[in-house]
Amino acid sequence: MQRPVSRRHLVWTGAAVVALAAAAPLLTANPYAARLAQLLFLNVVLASAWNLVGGFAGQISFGNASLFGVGAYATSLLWLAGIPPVLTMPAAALAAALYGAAWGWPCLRLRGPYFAIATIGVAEATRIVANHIEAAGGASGLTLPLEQDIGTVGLYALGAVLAVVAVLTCDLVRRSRLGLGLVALREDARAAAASGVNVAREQVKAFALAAALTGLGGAYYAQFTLYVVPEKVFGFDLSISLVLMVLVGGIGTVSGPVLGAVIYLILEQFVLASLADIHLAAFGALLIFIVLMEPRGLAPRLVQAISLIRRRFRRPEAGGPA
Amino acid sequence: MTDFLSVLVSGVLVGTVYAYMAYGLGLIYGVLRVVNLAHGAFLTLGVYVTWWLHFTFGIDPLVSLLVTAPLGFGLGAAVERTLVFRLRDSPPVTTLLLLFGVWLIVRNVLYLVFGGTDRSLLTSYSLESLALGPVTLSIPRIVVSAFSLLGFVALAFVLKRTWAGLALRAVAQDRGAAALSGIPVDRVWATAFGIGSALAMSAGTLMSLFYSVTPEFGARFLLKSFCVVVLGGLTNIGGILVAGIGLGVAEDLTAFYIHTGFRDVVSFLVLVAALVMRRVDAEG
Repeated sequence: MQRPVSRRHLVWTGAAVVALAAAAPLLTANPYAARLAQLLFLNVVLASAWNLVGGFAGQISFGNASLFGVGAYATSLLWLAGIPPVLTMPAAALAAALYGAAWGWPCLRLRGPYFAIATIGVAEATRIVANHIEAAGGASGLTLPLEQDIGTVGLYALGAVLAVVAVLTCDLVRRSRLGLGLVALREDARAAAASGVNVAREQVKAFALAAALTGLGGAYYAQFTLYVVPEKVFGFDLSISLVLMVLVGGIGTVSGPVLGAVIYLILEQFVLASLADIHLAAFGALLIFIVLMEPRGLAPRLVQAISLIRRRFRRPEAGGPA
Repeated sequence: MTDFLSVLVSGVLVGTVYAYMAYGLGLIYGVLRVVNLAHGAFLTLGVYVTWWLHFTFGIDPLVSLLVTAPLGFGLGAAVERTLVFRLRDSPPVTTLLLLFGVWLIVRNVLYLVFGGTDRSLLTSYSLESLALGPVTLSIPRIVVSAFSLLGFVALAFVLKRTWAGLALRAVAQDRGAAALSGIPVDRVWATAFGIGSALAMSAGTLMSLFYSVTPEFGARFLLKSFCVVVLGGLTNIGGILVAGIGLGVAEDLTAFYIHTGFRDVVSFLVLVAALVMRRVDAEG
């Protein structure tokens, strides 16, 4: 087993941080670019979190919006109570993790389509209940104070940090004992249990971790949209978009969710701008295409293409696995 | 007490429709081991076709059953032949995602054709009701409930008494053994998907008598169908009937005594509880 944090790791993280910092002036230059960057970071966080359980453990959740919403509402309510939003984020993560563990604990005993269906049930029930909690604004939601204290650059930095943390978490989990356990139970739950993986506990652990990240995403979302409403933050569309991102990018890989988040953002912007009438159909067709043609997503293809190019530029005898 | 009785009876009536609406989902799962996430699409399509026939030609919803049921069969069989069929050996979750894609496309088409506004139809008997002692019953509910029961009887007959039904049950029990005994499994699959979708679309037709519809209609009832099917046992006709009625009653009681807004929460919570307690093993 590899060491949890390798040098390669530090190099990649450093490179990512430098690249994100270098891109900052460009991506905070105008409001649209800034919003795109925020959405991209959010997507990376949420897709990576989804992948922890959906990809590694193979438990497809259609209900991550319930965790996202809890995070978004936790931050919003505390913010309205006078606490600076950034300081509310640990609370948002904790609330989402607790909620995730609470419903993940019974539901994760189910596998395959049954788990998927149960997650829809939980998320929809959460949405309906949220619509009726008057103390949290009910169906009309909460509008947050416009004078935010961290500004565009602050939001950019916060998003970048969250995204890096999420990807790093994904990679760390994949290399850890927890990750191995998850992959083992994805491949064969009975064999994993027989080999000493505590199937129930490992899944709940991973799910709580994913929930915490998703809750952080929600907290971030509340800070840049300044408006949370149940139909949006607890909405089914949000849950679906996460599944789609990870599937497009490459399920069960670390780079897949990142790639998927980028592709999804581009598609979403393009489709909403020019094909707004058929955006559902476009996503449906994409889903069908991916499932039928590229079930492993586009990330493996990309890796293939890169290694092919690298081999081209190398002398034959120097070739071989890099 | 009268209130309670009225609520109870109306819950039972709605419950039979729930059972009928859910049965297609159970049948498809039983035979193909596929969770049909496009079930909601067929339900919605059924309501819209019925509404359109009523709106343009003035056709009575009950007559349009003659259109929606065959149409549902054709569409369902087509979806199976073109898409689901390709994933026959993949893990069940991939088919689920595939059919979700189908649902998204259907939803989009409905938005394009009918727009997002609420559509509802009014027949001559829509507002009629029947006083039965202290209890008042709405005529549409009685009619719809009766048709659902009739549908159940017809289905039971097909499954138990015809060769096609026998083949369907054989494939549900053991696909390999069925194939070895000369049953054309491919055709049985397409047939099962067709029947399941025909049930869903005709259920939509029945539901058009007391629900209004938007393209988002299917989501709620898809989950309710899951709930009924999981509670009742996937292909167990009697169990599904009981589960449907149970859900209908529970919902109506909640809506009446607690809060109308929480009607749908009941089904979701019952669904999750039923799933967890049954601890159905997907791989098995």
